[in-house]
Amino acid sequence: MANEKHRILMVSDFFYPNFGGVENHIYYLSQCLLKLGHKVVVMTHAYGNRSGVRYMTGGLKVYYVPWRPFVMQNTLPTFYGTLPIIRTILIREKISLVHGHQAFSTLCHEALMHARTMGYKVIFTDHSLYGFADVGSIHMNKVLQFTLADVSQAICVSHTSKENTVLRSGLPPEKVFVIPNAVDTAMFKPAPVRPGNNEIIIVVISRLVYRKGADLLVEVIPEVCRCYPNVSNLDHDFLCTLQSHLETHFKVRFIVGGDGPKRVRLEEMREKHSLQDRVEMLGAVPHAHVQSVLISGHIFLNSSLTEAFCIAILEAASCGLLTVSTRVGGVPEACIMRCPLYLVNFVLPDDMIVLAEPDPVDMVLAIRKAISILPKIDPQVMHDRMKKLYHWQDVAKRTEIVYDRALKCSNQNLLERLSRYLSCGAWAGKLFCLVMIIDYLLWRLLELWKPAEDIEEVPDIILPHHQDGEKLQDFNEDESLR
Amino acid sequence: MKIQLLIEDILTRVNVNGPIEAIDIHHIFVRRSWAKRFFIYLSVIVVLSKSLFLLLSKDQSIPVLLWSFILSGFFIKLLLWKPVEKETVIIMPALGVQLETHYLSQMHLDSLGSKFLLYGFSLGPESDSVVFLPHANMINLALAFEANVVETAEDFELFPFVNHGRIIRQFFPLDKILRPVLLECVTPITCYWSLSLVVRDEGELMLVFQELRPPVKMLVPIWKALCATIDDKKGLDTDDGS
Repeated sequence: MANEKHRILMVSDFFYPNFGGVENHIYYLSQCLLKLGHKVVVMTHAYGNRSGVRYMTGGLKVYYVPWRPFVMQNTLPTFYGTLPIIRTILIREKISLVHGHQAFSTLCHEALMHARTMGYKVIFTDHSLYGFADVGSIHMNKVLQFTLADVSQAICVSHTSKENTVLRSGLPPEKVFVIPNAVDTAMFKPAPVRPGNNEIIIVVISRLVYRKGADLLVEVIPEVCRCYPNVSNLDHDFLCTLQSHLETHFKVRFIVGGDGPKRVRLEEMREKHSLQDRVEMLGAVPHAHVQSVLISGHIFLNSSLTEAFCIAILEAASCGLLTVSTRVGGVPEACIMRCPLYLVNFVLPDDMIVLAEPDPVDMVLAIRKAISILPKIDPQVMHDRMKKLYHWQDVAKRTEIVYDRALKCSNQNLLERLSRYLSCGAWAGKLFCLVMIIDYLLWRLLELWKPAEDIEEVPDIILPHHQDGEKLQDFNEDESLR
Repeated sequence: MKIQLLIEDILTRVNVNGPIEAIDIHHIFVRRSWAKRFFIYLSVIVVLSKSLFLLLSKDQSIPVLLWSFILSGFFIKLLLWKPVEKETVIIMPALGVQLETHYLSQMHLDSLGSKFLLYGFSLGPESDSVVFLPHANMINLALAFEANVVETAEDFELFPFVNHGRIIRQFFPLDKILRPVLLECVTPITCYWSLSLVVRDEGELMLVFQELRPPVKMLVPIWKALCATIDDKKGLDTDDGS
């Protein structure tokens, strides 16, 4: 295990106060790296009035750089506009390597480009799957190819995501590590008392957009409600003995949390089939309330059309819910349980997740199967299993190994690095080289205008372990400031 | 732009018959960059020469030349406008903190101007006693007389703290100051440290240095001095209260 402590700059357009997979990944990974003794600084764009330097739990320092979001929470791409501020942060925080997150983040791409120009080692984590055919994907893949042409190491959240990233960017597979996401099991605990057995509640929490399969829900929900029309107050033990007749004795209800452009379709479906009493629409659910919504149900339904990993499934399993999900992307890998000897991967038995093709008929069958095995589920046992399988400390330790590997990569000068960009394409390669040459020249100009010696290094805030409060020790102890 | 710090911890009289108390004065000077001025004026000359040449050789219209003049003037004003000579923090125990910003006038320092100022202050009723009036350069003058540095009016032109430009002053009684804080500020292109005062009944922090951005090595001693003064004041208030 590595002993050297690193000073890491995490860069992404997606961070707190936004909530999502990428945001949570950066936050939890940073917290665990801080506990391992590393120094972590996060850089993102300003969110409204949240601008400047903020400190989060554990002394996590966050730079909310006042570059306003352009579209979909992304900073306006300026190529070279962020060079001065990124250079300043890298020098004043004494950063040793830069870790960018998410292919869709322009700030991440620019930061990695500038960091490589300045000679820093960079790591990129890809959190999503992208296509190859449409105009947006083609453009995004070209940008990714440019960024990853000179990256030290890359991380993907699943083997499927690794395959997707390697194909899109042309990165050598040996440079890509697979480190799956984890879940905060302390936050996602099952309910002390399981919801009543007179009806089965299926929970859906996701953004109501096309790629999350909201259109599938529009067809699946009425069909499931039709299969389970009746209400019956049956004893739990009696249920177990009547599994073959469950359909006629159960009522199924849906709780849908989330918002998005497809919400209108779901509302229309509810009206059309008169399911107002069986489909409850919660709207946008704050992240802090997700657990309380999950524990109100028995089954979690995920209908995504594409998922690199799907943390939502882990959260639901941690809350003790049986999961029904589409078999897409990295979802099957999210359910892989490693045997103690790390020899063979076993898919979880059917009592933890039921997979289906992204097709309404197959999904209805999967839900019926899930309902039939529901009595065998013990939420607390499921939660305990999740605790052992997925935890952020493990992710941090594995990421630490990637950092060590990245720092051992050889230093290359500009000419050696340019040869990598030339291989990106006949015209694109030359364009990328030109962009990097201009970046290099601008960096040199900045070095003359404001030398690195003129940029003051920031003293570290050391948090005491006994939690008596923070103390700016270095300001008082630094002899150079006297 | 080079900044240098001059700290004075000078004993002086609050009033002729009163006790002697220490006043902590911190000056942040701006060292003029002649290279920068030379470069700016040279650039302007080049632009104007080019415009004039175009006008004469290719028979261009006069508005081009006029625009060149306007843009050059704007360029000079933008980079050389309101040059700051120094910013001062005067910490007066049991009284308060006075913040000053001294701007450099366009005139060069000359003996005529300095004598005018000397006579102007010497005629004033407070010429050799009060330390907390808005005319803070009187402090320097008073101190100079006290220390026998300046004996005659002619000596005054050697005195280094005379300025001719505008001076903006702000006084904060110690009772109103809750705490001085060092903050990291982030702009779209850079980060810097700033020293601010948390003032009672004010919704915003009060910047100690309005124009300059001194490095943190210069801010820390000032911050410590402010903290010490406020802590002493609070200690005295607690003793009086108990």
